[in-house]
Amino acid sequence: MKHFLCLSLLFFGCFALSQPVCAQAKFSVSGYVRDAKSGETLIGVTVFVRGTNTGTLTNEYGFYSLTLPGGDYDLGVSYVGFQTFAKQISLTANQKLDVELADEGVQLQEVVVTAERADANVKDVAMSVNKLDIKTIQKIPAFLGEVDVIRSIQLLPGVSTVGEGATGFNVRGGGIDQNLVLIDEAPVYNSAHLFGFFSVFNPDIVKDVKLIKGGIPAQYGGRLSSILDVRTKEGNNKRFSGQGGVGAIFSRLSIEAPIIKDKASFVVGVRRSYIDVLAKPFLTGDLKGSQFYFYDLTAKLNYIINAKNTVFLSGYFGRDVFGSPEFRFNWGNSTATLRWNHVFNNKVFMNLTAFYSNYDYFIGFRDEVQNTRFDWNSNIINYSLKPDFTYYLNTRNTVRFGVQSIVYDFRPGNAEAQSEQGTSPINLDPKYALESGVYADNEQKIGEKLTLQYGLRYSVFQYLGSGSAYIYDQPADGTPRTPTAIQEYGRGKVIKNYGNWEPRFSANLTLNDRSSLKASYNRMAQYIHLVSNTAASTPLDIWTPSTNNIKPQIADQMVVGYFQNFADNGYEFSVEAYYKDLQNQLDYVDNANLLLNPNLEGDLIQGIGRAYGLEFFLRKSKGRFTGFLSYTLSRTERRLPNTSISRGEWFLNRFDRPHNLSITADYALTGLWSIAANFVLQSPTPATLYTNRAELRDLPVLPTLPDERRNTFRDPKYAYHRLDLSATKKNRQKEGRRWESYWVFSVYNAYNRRNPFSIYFQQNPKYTGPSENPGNASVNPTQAIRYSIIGSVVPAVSYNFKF
Amino acid sequence: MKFFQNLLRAVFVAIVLAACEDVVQVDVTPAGAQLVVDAFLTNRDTIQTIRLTQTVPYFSEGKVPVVSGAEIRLKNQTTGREFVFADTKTDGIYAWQPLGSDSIGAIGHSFQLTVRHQNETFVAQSRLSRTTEVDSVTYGFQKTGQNPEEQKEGYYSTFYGRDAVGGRDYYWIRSYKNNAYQSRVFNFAVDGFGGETDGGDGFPFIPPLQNMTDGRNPAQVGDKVRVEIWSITRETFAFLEQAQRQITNGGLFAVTPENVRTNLKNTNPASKTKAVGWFSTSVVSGLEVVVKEK
Repeated sequence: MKHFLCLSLLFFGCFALSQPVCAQAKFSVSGYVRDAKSGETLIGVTVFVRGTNTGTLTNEYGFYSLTLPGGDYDLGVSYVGFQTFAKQISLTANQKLDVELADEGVQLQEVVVTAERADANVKDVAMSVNKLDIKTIQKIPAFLGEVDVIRSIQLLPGVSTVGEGATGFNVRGGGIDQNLVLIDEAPVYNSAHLFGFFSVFNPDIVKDVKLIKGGIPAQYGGRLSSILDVRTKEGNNKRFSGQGGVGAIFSRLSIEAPIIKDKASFVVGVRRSYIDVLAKPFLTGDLKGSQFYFYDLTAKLNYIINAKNTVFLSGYFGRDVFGSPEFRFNWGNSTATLRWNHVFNNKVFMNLTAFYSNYDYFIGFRDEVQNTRFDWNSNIINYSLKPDFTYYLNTRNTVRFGVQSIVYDFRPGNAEAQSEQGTSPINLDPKYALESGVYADNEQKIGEKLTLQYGLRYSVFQYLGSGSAYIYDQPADGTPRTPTAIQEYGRGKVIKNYGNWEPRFSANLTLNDRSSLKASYNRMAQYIHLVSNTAASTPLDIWTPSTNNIKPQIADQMVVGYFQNFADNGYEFSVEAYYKDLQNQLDYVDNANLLLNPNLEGDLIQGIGRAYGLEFFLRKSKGRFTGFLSYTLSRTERRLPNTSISRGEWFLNRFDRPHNLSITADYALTGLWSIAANFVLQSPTPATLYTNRAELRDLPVLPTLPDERRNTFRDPKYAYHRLDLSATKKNRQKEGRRWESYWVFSVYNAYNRRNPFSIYFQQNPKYTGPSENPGNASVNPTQAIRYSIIGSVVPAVSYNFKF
Repeated sequence: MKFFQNLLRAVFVAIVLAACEDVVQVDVTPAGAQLVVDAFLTNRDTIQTIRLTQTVPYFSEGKVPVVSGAEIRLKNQTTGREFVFADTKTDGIYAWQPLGSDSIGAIGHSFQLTVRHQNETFVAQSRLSRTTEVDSVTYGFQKTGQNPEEQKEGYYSTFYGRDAVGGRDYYWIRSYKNNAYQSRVFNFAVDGFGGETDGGDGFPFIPPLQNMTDGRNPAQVGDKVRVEIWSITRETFAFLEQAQRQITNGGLFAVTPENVRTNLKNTNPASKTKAVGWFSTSVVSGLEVVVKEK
């Protein structure tokens, strides 16, 4: 609380100095902006005084507040895709004005891509932010015809992935665990279904997707590289409606309806894959009884109690299941969020969020004949409480402040083996931690040209008992360490405490109506780490807290950018350059054992990282032809000084892709058809390849790497490129019927490129070695393999509907 | 835990309809040759051999060059007795032939191996630990599987055994068909389990470890199948585990390729010359059965 007071004083001190003392009385107009058709609140709507530069935007909950000197105003509320609302107001006292916007009609809505204020690209102080509304995402040709949030995000500048089908994404050279993926403010620890082909977000429920890669405001903390803020719909509070689809791999259905008209509503959406059902006839022999499917359920309930209070309850539950009679493997996330929006007065808005999030997996082996069993599960559970306040101080300053606390409960592994002799448990101790943050931030307009956003976050992390602290005397030199002592701590006792000041700063210098220069700096601290040493993260990877041995990760990022709009905001262009400095990046000793290892910390080491790049983004958002082009030139490296890993020198990260280009285009044909295409071209990821081999009699091919450097091999001929195409046909809507439907025909990897996920060397499976089979001289002992996840054209068709 | 990774990969491949692997040509620049020491000894009364060779470029197809003319001594540090391994045929095989029921030592003894070659001296340590008995071996006939290359028709055998009670024991479970070591059945255990975890003490060996058969080469009627349990040290276990991980590395969940450890240390700290390979000493138990028609 001490820090909080410090921050408050600091900030309010700033305003006091920067604000001229005004004699004229000021009043505020505030309220919510909603969609007239569904009652859904609208995020990022401009509320402005017509004919002036004075205005504000609605926040994540659709709330706005505008403070003006007393007088008469011609107020406008505008949002792309909706009719502008205008009203004469006479401001003699604070007043409340809730607005419902009517959409501009079907004709235009079809070609609207962005649901954002048209010149936000130039005018907002925020930089390195990409917003994708669900309509944009839906237009991108998708794998197996299924629209997906995370796969769409991967087309944006600065975002890449280690390969097709891999879980997660990399932002500006950061690891996949450095993204804070939020669904209604609750973190999701594994955002993938089917390893990485689909994400956990049901697109029919998603309202807004925002990816923040730089200039991260002080309200966010806990991850180094990005925030992926996914917000779900509230549900139609006017009438019963729904949507869904039937596709090649899964089906979706969601319904929404008012509970009390204009007051309370719900939305619930489900998805389930049915590849297992379709494949059943082909599953014979050992494959009989195989299970493989995933499902998820997303639901939300909201209740507008009165003009000042709204509550939301939302939840996600999803699971991937694989198995056979002898083997079961499943994993999934569940989250629950309870939010309360409270308007204290015309100027102060509060959102209080409480959430619960749990990621777990289970593996079980069974042998009915021998009556043996091996079961294993692992969890990460957390609970959090987070009040955030927005204080609309005046037209020039908007202050945000708040606190957050997260309680973590890590269960790295509980296993149990059973045979006739009884059971034998293998339990790794749970680990507990408390992460807290306090922040304050002000967005200030200085004159007509300059907007600043400056903030500070102070974060504290406590690694708590009950638990055992492992003490190592040996320095982390890249070899496995054995603890010299294990110290026990009682329940709630602090084993290790970390604190970090995280300054955040952004500036926007408007050059003219159509262009601006922006710059930002942010420091981020990350206290929890995903322990994974495989090319793509597996669902078995566990999260671990910072401990007495694992230090928090720290990143400093600087960004500068130029933003310009053309042709009446029909085109947006931006170029940004970033440099990121990373500390305490997690790495692993040779032959690290990451699963069910009580001495895990002895196998971890920490190094430094650096990443830099140049990002270009061009978007066309008006007209029949829409789309975007993004190109990133970047580098991401790591170094483990004082170890022998890669000789202690800088080496490329496994997901380094210097060139990354993607082009997405959509064309609305006359009539009911529209067509879209998507092209991606990326440098291949680097690989570490053996150069020599040794022959032991019982290990015929023992690979060696005398050079010892990592990720030095890259051949441009293994570049990743792919073209996807799709065509959408709307079915004619019957007169007086609400049922709307459309077909999507898509072709993924249209020209059948066999893109490698990786190149690796292995012992020829046919080679059995000289001592076992001396006559087998014709078989080469070794081979190089190009491993591709998608090796063919993938066509798909889906039927989608809305009512 | 490699087992789980393999399973994951298998499951993944089954799911992703189009995933594929092709053999391609890749050029890498090989480094100069290194000395390879292949020294897996047992305390049996049979001939004990150590093989010295050189590393070759990864895609080299010919035989590996053997190294003769080196001097190899094994010292039982517990008894002080020294054994000379001689390369009498200059074929890279250095042997010591026990007379009668002689052996290099007994459970609990420590050993040092010294290899002197071209002015470089490498030493390595090992110890003889206890092993455990094989209770039984069973086999059953299986038809050709879904993947005919990987699961051929024949007799598949399984052994039963139990970890020795108390302490932490490491085993290399080796299987043989007609006296030929089956290098693709690569099983090693910590107590009754597959990995370095608590809870396996005194436990029967769990299913994946019990498999004795390489699906590409199952037994037929009349074949002899044998399982041997070699006691190994914790370090040797780590070597085998790392070797297996690196040899079978690849795919979506590949780990970063790295050098497999060696316990051969150059006695001259100033020398940059390194050796590859491993020295290990084992106590062996085993059971052999002849496959009969069922």
